[in-house]
Amino acid sequence: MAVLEELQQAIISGNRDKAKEFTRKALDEGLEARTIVVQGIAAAMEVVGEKFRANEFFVPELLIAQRAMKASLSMMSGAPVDYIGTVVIGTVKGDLHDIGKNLVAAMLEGAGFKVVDLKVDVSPAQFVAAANENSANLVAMSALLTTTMGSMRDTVAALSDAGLRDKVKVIVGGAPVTQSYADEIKADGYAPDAASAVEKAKQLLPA
Amino acid sequence: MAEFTVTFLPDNGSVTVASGTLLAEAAREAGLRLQSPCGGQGRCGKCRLQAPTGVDSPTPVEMRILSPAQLNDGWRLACQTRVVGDALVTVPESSLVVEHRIMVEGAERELLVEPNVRKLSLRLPAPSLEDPRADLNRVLEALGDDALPPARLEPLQHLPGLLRRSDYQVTAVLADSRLVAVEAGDTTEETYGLAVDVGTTTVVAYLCHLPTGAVVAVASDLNSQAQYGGDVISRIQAATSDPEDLRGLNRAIIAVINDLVARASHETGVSPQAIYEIAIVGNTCMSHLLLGVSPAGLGTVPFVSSFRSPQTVRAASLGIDVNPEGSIYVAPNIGSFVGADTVGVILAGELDRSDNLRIAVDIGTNGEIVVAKEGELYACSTAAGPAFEGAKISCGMRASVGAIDAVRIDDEVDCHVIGDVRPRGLCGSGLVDAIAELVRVGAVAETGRMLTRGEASALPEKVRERLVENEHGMEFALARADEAYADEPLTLTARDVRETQLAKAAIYGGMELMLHQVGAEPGDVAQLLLAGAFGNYIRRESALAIGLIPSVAAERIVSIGNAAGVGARLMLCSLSERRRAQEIARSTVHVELSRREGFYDRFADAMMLRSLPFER
Repeated sequence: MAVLEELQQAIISGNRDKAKEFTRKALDEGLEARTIVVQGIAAAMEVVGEKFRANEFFVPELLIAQRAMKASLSMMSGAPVDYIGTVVIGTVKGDLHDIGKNLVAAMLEGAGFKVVDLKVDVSPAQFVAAANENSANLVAMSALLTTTMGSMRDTVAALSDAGLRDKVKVIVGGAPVTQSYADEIKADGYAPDAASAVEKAKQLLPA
Repeated sequence: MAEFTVTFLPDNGSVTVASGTLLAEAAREAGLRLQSPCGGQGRCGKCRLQAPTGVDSPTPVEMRILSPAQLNDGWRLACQTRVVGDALVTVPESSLVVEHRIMVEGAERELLVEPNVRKLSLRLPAPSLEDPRADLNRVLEALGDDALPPARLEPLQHLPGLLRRSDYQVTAVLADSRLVAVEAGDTTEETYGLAVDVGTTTVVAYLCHLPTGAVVAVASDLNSQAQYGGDVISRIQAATSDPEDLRGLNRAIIAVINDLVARASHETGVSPQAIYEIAIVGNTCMSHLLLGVSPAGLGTVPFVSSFRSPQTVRAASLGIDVNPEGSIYVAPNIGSFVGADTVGVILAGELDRSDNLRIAVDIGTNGEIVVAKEGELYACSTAAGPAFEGAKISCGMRASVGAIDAVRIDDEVDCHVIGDVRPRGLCGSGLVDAIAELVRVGAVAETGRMLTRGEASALPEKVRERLVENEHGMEFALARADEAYADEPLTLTARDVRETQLAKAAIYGGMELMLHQVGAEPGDVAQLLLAGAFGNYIRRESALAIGLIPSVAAERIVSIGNAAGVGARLMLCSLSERRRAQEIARSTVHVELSRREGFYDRFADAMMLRSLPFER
C-alpha cells in the first residue's frame, strides 16, 4: 500500500512530522493499527537495522528513526496490537548509563515487541518481579561498567530461584560485555549492538 | 616637637616628619615601598639606604648587618634609623619592593605575582666572638619571627658547608613560611615554577619564571594513561580492579610530567633544581591518579571521590623530578566528575565574578560546562569523548606542527596547517571546520551520513573526486597523497563524522540542560567562552554551524584557548588566586546530567549537524 511505503520512508529518514502524517492517513484509509505496526513500522525498523549493519546508518539515524517510530506509535496508542513478544529491559544495579539500552528498547519496540523499560540501577529482584508481572518472554540487561556486570549473573540466578528460568530467556549487552561472558553466566544470548539485539531477541522467542 | 625635612633620592620626594621618626616610616609617607621581609626587626638588611646626615648613630642591631666600611659610607637600615635633623637619603633600587604585575594571556587581567615559594637573599654577618649564634638560628633570625625551621633534615645537613663556602651570602627558600632550603649566593632570580594541566588526553606544562610570572617554555604530550583506556571510566575501572594498575596509572602520569619538565628544562637551560613550585589542575579522576589515591568510589553509584580540597605535597614524595623540596599544589575539585581543571577555567574567565549570564565550555574529553548567573556557578561534565583532542579520529592529532587546524571548501579544499608544513593530521579545530564545510557544501548530510560520489553530483569536480569508497565505507580526502606529509592521503572517514556527532551532541545537550537549570535561553547569554585542549581555537562559526553550541550571537562567543592551563598559571603565581580557587570549588554546584529527565532525548536531537532551535 502506497501510504505504508510512505510511512516506512518517513520512519527510515527520521521524519517525525511525516511519520505522523502518514500514520494519520493510513488510519483514515481504514487500515488497522496492527497492520500499520507490522507493515509500516516494523518493516521500516528492519531496513534501519540492515543499514546499520551495513555501516550506512549509525546511532544518529537509529535515534531519529526511533523517534519517528514513536511519533507514529503515539498516534495509535490504545488500539489493539499483536505483540510478537514481551521484553523486560533495564540497566543493571549500580549503573546509570542508558543510551545504549534506550536504543535497544526502541528497536525492539519497532520490531513489534511489548517493551517494559525498568530504566537504570535495576536490581535482580526488580527484574524478576517485572518478568513475572508482565509474563515476559525475555529479560534484556545492559551494563557499561565492568564493576556492575556481576549483577547480570545475580539476575540469572534470581530468575532460576523464582522458577522462571525456563520460561524467560536472558540476553545481555553493553560495552564491557562479551559473548564469552554471556556464556559464562549462562545467558541465552549476547548482542553487540541494537540492530543485532533485535535479531537475537526474535530468535529466542518460543517457536 | 621639632620637625625635619627628609628628601629621598633619586626620586626627590620630600616629607616633613617629627624628630625621632624612623626612616622606614618617613619612606612610607613619601610613597616609597621599602623591602621588609623581616618585618622591621633589623635582621635581613634589605631596607638599607644611605643617610649620611640628619640621623642618629648606628645601633648595635645595624652593626651586626652592616660592615664598618658600609657604616662609614653612611649606609643604614631604614627600620632602625631615626631622623634627628634635615636628611638627604639615597635609596638604592635593590631596597625597593618590586611588584611584578603580569598580563596572563587568556585571563585578561593583571595579576600580582605572590607565589607560595619565596626566595630571600641574605647577607649574613659571619660568626664572631660577639656573635656566636648557631648557623640555623643565624639564618632564621634574619628571616623574621614567623619563619619556621625546616621540617626535614636535608636542609640542615647542607647548611654548615653552604654558609662557609658562600661567605655567608646565601638565599633562603621558604614555602609557606617554612625554610625548606638554603642556596649559595643570591639565587632569587633563578626561581621557577611549573603550571600543569593534566587532561585525560593531553597534558600541558608551562615553565614560568616565578619572580615575574613569565612563561619561558611550554611543553605538551599525550597522556600515556591512555594505555589503560581513553576515558575516565575505563581508567577508574582499571585502577579499581587491580592495585597494580593503580600504581601503573600513577607512574604513567608522573612519567609524562617528568618528561615535560625535562623538555622544558632542555629548551631553556633552566635546571629542574630551580623549580620549586608546581601547580596542577586536572579532572577529579586525574587528581586521584596523580596522587596515587584510588578512584574506586567514582566507579559506581553514588559516585563519590576520596578528596575534594586542594592538596599540597613535597615533590620528592610524588617522584616528580624538580627540586625535591619543591611544593606541589594540586588544585581543589568541584565534584566527582568536575575537577580542578574546571576551577582553572572559571578562574581564567573570572566566571565567579559575573554579574550577568556567562557560560564556559571546555571542548575536550570530558566536555565540562560552567554556567555563571549573577554570581552563582553551576558545572557539569558531558563525557564528550576525545574526538576534539584528536583521539578516536582516524587521522586525528593534537594541535601542534603538522595539524590541519582550519578548512575551507569552495571549488577546492583549502587546509591551513600549523607550522605551514605538509599536513600530518587533523586537530580539533580542523575537525570542526572540516565537518562544517562538508555539510555546507553537501558532501555530508545533516544526519551525518557521508554521501557516495554518485549521490554527490552537485559538488564541484575537484571536491567530489575526494570522496572515496573503500571496504570500511566512505571517506573524504582532505589532503591527497601528493599533498600530505607521508605520501598517503589524509582522510576524514564516515566513522570519524559519527564520532564527532556523538561528542558534539553530548556537549550541546549538556549546554541546553544547563541553560534550563538556570531558566535561561541562548539569547540571554552575555558571553560564551570556548575553552579547549591546548592549541585548539575552535572557529565559532563552525561550532554554531554544526550545532556544537546553542545559537548564541557570534559576537558574544570568544575562543579562549587552554583556559584550564591559564588557571593553573594563575594558581602557580598567586596565593590569592589559590584562595579564590578554593572558594570556587566550594561554592560551584555540581549538576549530574545523567539524572536529568530529557537529556537522552536532547542528546539524540543534538546529533544532527546543524544549528538547532533551542527547546525550552
